[in-house]
Amino acid sequence: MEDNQIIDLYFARQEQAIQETDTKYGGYCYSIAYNILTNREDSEESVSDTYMAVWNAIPPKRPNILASFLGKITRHLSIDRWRSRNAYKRGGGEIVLALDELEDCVSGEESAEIAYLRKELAVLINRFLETLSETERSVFLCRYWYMDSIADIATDFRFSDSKVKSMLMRTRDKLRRVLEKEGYA
Amino acid sequence: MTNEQLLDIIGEADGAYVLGARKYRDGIVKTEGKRIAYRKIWLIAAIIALCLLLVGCTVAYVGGYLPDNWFEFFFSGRDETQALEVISPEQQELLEQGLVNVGQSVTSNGYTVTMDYAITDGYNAYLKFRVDAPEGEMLAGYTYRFGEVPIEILGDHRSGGQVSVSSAGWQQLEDNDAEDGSIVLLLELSDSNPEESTAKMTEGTEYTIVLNTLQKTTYSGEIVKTVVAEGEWEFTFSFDDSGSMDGKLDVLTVPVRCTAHRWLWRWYVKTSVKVTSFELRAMTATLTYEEPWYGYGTGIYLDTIYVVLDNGTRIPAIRSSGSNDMRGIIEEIYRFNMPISFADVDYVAFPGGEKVYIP
Repeated sequence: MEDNQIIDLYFARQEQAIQETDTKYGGYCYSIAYNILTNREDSEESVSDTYMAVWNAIPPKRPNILASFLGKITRHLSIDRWRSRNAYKRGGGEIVLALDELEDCVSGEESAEIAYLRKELAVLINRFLETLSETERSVFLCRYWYMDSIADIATDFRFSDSKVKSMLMRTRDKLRRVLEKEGYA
Repeated sequence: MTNEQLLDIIGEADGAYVLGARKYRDGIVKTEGKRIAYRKIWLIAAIIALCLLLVGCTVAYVGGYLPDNWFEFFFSGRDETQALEVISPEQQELLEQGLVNVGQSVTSNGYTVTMDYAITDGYNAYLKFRVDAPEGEMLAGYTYRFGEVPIEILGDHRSGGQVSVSSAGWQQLEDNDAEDGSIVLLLELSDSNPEESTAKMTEGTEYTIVLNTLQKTTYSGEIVKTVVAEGEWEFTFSFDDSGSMDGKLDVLTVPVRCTAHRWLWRWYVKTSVKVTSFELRAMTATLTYEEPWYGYGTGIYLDTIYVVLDNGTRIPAIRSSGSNDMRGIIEEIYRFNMPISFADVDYVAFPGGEKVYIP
């Protein structure tokens, strides 16, 4: 089913919209959630929460790209779930490694104003992504948006692990310089 | 700023970029990988040339028949195991036999659209198009689509309306080379009428498809659909039943009880249904089950059925449509993301634990 047709089902408040979303994007959302949560039950719950959030958001919202809309909500909810889970239990998974790597780019000091500057930072991050080559950008997003492992990225892009690592290191370095220049690091 | 705050901000990456990365994850786009030294390339080229000299005509014949292995590229890795190379020789043979060489080209407004191949099992069809831009124009990236596609059914079936086809969507197979003016698009069509009594795509029905607007999705602060070219590219084609893609296999000899979910307002409630038949085809299946006491149309969805191949590949059946014959039987059409050769099937795993082995 075309995305527009699925969105129309949401607008018509047809519960079939959820099923069609699950059929087309269930695996996609689950893979995002699982990379973050590394737990089947939590991931399934996160995907269910995503469907609920989408049901509540559409209408009035009409997403331009349904896949990225769903992916973004799944990622957000999964990170929230990971945080609440880790408030009392430290966990592993790719998110821990990704956070460790991202420490290169930031000062590490908590900044309360970041929440208020979110829109500006979103523009900044997209401007930064625009400066990267398609491959660099995709490798970066596979690692820090989808939280894919280095080994998985190497397989998907047919690169060696060391090439992926060095590409990510260079990209993080560029990002650090951009953040420093703009006064956000 | 902390690393967790940065991780949140990365979550704001533009949707087009996120989808671009997804194409690598899904194996739709592949990088060139490790480059080979020029000396090695010459050595390989010399060996290939020698092989070509030895096998000459045979290679030329087979090479001409296979359309750049586009179907392997498209259908590989689409099972639950996400294996990269899962097309078996039997699946490949099935596709080759079912492939219809259409070979129609239409030029409009300088853009040439070629509908070169089509394939169907009677219920689901894939149409492959190549788009060539006028000289000097580039088609780069992976976000090209044609806009609304009117599909007209010609011939005897037209008035009776016995064949009902809906467009299920476009996918861009490749952008052969980012620096050139050609792209390859695939249109998936599905028969939206599940009733067995109606004529199917394999029965010689003629279809006309008119493509009008080639669009590209871009991002500049917000997602924008840009019209790349407008024109009229019209194609008439039909499928016949000479291929082997219209084979059927009745999987069930006795009914099986399957787990299902019933969507009640905001929650899924577990339930079960009695499945009475499951007819497997190359790319689709028809399933029937007895209408439960609370009736059809109350949001019943069977849990996932898998067709499991001898090599362990698990192919999920994806529901495309359903209907009620008003006599207590619900009929549903499912489709598969990759073709199924019956010779490869080990068993069908029904939700609830029942496995039906295929002899």
